[in-house]
Amino acid sequence: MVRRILQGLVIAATICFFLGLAAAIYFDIYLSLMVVTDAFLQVAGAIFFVFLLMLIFRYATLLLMAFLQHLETVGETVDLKDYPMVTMILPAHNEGPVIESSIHGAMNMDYPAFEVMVVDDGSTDDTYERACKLRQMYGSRLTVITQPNGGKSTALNNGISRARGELVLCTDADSKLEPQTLREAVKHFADPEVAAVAGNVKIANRLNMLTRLQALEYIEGLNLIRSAQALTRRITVIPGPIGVFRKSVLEEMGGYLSDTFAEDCDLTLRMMIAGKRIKYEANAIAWTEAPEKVEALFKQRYRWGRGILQALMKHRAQLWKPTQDPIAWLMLWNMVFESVALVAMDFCGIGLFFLMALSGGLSSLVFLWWTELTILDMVAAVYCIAREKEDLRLAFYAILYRLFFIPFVDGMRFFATLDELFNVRMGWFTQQRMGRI
Amino acid sequence: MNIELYSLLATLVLVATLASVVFAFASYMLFRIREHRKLQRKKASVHAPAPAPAPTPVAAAAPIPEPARPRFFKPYEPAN
Repeated sequence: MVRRILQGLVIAATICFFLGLAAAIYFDIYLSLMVVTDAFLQVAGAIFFVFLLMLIFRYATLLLMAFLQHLETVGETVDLKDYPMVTMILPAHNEGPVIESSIHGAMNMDYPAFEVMVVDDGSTDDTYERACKLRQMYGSRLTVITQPNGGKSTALNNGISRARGELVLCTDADSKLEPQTLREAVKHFADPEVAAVAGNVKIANRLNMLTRLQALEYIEGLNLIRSAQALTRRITVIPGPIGVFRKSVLEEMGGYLSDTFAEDCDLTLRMMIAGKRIKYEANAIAWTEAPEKVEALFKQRYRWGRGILQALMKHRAQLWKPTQDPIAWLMLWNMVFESVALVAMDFCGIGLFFLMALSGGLSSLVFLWWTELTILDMVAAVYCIAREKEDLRLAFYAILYRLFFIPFVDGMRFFATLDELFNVRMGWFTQQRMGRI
Repeated sequence: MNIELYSLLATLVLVATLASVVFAFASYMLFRIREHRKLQRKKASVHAPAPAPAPTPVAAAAPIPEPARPRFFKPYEPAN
């Protein structure tokens, strides 16, 4: 107990130190801008200042909401009287190197009533054969079906329609679930209002700089946002590697649709618009394999970027209906901000960097801007790492994260946005599995 | 911290940021070129006559599992 209090105090002191530093830098930036007399630099400085304010507000809001959500769940002890049957669906297309590991992981659940259903989506490798071999080991608890290649959505729908469970866990064949996942996720369904629970996705293959940066991004970026959104029960993306749904809700929604490249985002948005409540469970953990090479990362982010835009465009009418569900409306606009405005702001910021540094000699501002954002990243990273009991060393990657990773990822999102606007043809890129999980 | 050090650090930040954006652009161009080539190959293969399938002895053929036809849900109808 004393150790936990001490740990909490150390983390709180670290966060306070960083926040103090960020405030001092912010004040320094303000003072630097006050002495500028050139008209162009004044306008550029004002834009710079507003961007920075918006980013600070974003971080502060996310951290506060995530912290409140954490407080809400700390004392939450739900004693399940009966355990609803859960069907875990693993859609798989050419997942030979990882399918066995995924099935073993799914079968290892600490939960009394579940079945696992592998849906082979017309694989051309030995995915189906490898999955079938394990049927002897697990008996009737493992079902393996195959279908002609029709995409992930049809594979998931196929599994959902055959599921015997009252609840359905959708995962990816390249993900490995932790044993407590089902127990932790299912407890939320004691509340009849809850339609789905989003889980916590973590990177398993932290083998090089690129995958470690992605590990930090998942913890500090994606999970922080999801945790903050969960306070309102309106999450905008239930991640593909781990989402638990009521089967009745999936049927009501018409299952997954294949008209976007982000079927998980599309389904979540449809649920949110239909007034369904979605929670987040940080202890329902899925370990997934991240792209280890830049080319694979590019393809993944390109697909995500375009998929999210497609889903947003599909539901754009909701952006003009604030009265239907004001919080869901805010969440949709927040999604527009995160996927479009934030990228544009980053690029405008970079442009202003150059102009101010080259024409006005205000290069110190460039460094202060970057330091301010890196400190905010570090604060968020320290909080998330402490909350998830993750590797503290990841916090130091925040420096490289802001310096290289964010401009690179924003660049990819920018090109994906352009291609989506100009309707450039794209295909579904399959990530080559390395069998790391 | 004096102004020279600020300028040096700012230059480092600028160079790193610019390099990352240029790298993203290069990755994008490479990706587009590969996609274009893939499309060309696909088009070429559509026009080429398909080779006749080689006969396989019946006894050697592995049992092919009957694929389960996907069942589809009713189309999604928004509530409003």
